Amino acid sequence: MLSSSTTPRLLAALAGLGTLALAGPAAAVPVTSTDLQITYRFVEDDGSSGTELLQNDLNFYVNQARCQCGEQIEARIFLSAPSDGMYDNDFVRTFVGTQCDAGQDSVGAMTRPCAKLIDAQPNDYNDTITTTFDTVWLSSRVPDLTDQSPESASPIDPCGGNQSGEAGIWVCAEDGSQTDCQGSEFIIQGTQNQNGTNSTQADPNASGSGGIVFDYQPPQDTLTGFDSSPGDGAVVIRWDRSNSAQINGYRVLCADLAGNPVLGGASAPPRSAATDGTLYYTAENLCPGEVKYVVETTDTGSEDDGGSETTGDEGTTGDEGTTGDRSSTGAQLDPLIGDGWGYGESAGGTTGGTDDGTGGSTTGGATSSGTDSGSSTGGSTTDGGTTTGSSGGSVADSPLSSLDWAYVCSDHISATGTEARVDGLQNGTEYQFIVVAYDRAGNPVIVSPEVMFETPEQTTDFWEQCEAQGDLCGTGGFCHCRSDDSNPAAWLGTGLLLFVMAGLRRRGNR
Amino acid sequence: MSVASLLLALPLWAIEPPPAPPADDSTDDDEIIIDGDEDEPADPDPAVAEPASAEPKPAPAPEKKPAAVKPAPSSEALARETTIGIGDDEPKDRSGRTGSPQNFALEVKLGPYLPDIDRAYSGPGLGPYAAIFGETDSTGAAVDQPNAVVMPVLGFDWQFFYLGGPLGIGAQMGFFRDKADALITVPTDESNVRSDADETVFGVVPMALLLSYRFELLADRFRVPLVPYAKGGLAYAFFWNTTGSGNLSRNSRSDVARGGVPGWQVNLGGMLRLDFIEPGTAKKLDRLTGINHTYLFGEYQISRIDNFGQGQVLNLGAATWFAGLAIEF
Repeated sequence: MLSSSTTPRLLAALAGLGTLALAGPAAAVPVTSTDLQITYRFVEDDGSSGTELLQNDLNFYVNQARCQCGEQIEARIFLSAPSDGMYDNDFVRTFVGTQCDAGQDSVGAMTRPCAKLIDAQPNDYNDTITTTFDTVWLSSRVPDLTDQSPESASPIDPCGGNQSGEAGIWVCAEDGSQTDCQGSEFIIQGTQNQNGTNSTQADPNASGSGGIVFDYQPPQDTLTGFDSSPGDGAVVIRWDRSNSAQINGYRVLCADLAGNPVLGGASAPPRSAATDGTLYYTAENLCPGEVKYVVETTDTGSEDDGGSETTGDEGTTGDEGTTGDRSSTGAQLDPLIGDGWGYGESAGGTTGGTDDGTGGSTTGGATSSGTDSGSSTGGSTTDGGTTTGSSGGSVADSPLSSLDWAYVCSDHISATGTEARVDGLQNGTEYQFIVVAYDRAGNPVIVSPEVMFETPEQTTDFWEQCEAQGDLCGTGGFCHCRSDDSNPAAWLGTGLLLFVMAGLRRRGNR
Repeated sequence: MSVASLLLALPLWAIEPPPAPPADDSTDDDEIIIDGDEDEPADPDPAVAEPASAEPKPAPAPEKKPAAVKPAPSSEALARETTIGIGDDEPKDRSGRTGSPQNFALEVKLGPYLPDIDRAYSGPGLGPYAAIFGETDSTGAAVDQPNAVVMPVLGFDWQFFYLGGPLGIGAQMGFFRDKADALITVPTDESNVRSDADETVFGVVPMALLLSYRFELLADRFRVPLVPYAKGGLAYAFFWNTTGSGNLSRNSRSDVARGGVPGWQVNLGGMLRLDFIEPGTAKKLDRLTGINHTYLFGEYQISRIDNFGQGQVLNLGAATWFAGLAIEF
């Protein structure tokens, strides 16, 4: 029997249980953009995690050479606990690239999917997920949805020279209605991170979004007025001032006629060096012998050999030995401007390259687009040691076109500079010169249309002329007090000074 | 107008009549009033004189004003009041000058300068300096003497004694720079004998330690705004010559193209005291800043900076003129 005092308690307990049974378990909530935190970090040479990317790195770190060398960036993705309830079990997938939503919806010649980094459920994100990706995936996509793994898929148009834009981590939280991600399910769209914001190229001080800017395109401006003048053990190279906003600086490259570097050259910037706007980068300099992604260079169209068309097929990318033919991929669209890529739409044919395709040892395959942007560079390969012995030689025929840092003969010259002086040369010896311009990200391009040849010659300045005309200027120096000849003027001057000093002293005593 | 004609015309234009009687000098009267105000004790700051107090002070007992009216000031007092700071009664220093103490002079001047380097050259054609920096023909070959370069000079005097004018000792320093394309030693193209790549630059910093005398008696006592002056003393000039690369040049003996040469220098000139334009403003400037006088001046300078003729050295002196502005304070 229940006592009268326990009956109300039991009823209350039963009522409570009934309420719980009606309410069911805690509601499952989907992952939203505010639940995710993304942080980008460098990856050290040994694969360990480096420092976080700063604004300058977001803007200028990813250039064509770094892309070709397979430089990696680490992304740390953290999913915070939901404020109420728990996350549902739908997949949260992480991609890297730009406009990943379009690539997921429909795959076509102009729209391709992004590389997929992570397939996981929300619980897997509770602890920070760390993933690394080659910078090439910021700009390149995979061929189709069957294989989106960056490990096995081949990037389309890797590090192509006309690409620039902004990319980053994309996160798709599936709603369970369809398998795999749809464009509308992306909750992070490449522009969210904890590192800060990038800025626009036009105004580096202005804040932009949170994407990583990739820029593989060297300055496109045409410079004029190149001229060389011989000096005393020196050569001065001049050009007309450029108002280009793309050019961040210049350097002069020089060699003797045999193609040997002079002045000892300069050391190529290390892979870990920060992009400070005073250096240029080529894949061969940055990662010699380890170029991972070969640029399918664009033919200028000046050489039409009617050869077989070779496009940037995914089957050839990443293989240094197979792309030395300078095949052309035309109509490549800027990923931020167009809505697709020029994959497979060749505008030209295979040019007359002579690269044997045996490992990328020539400049034809693996060097940056800098060697292919000038009007005189189409289709030629470097055959080191070429000598022309005359002015106006083809840039492509010069070993300088490799842009090897051993040929660098000048310091960084600012974008407004119009002159470079190369000292330390031998009078009477002929040298060859080219001028390289580069953007803030360090993508180089040869801007001098022809190789300039010049021979330094001895000149006579005032001091030497003074010696030649009777040694009128003497030997220099600051003291001429010791003289064997006596002269009253010197004593007069000294006496005058002593007189003044004595007068001052008398006044001071008073 | 040449400097000489300017100097001749200035006295006729600028001489003023002797000081007018005090009663007619209205401008100075204004200044006297200001002086008088300054001499009077300043009105006490109410905030200082009567600091805020939480406790109200008892009101002072009202004073009974005398019924008698304050007497009018005497004529002597009025006369004394209206003549303070005027003319001869104005406070003077021991040299008889009015205004604040005058101890220094500062001058800035510009003038053409061409170091007389080729003076010692006796060979055919142009001397070495003209051969590099001279006027050239279309091929770049020198055909005439170089043009003088405008040189700025800064001078400073310490006036330590007054004898009808301040006697001072001071220093001055200028800066001279000339440049030209270097000559091609063995030109292969006769149409151009100059290098487009190598620019040779020659620089000189002439300095001088000078004893100066400025005859200011007429300006101080008789309001003739002209001050003739003379300076003389020792000079020393630093020089250097750089090549196209910007490095100091060297000759075949590897002597470096830099050094210094001593010599002497004399300056003769005249200064126009600008106080007469706005006497009241000039006095106010003196009272506010301590600047006694401002001048426009021109001078002739001759210098022989050649180690007093001893040895084989550059002659960096020149005979030239300068014009500028000066202040005494």
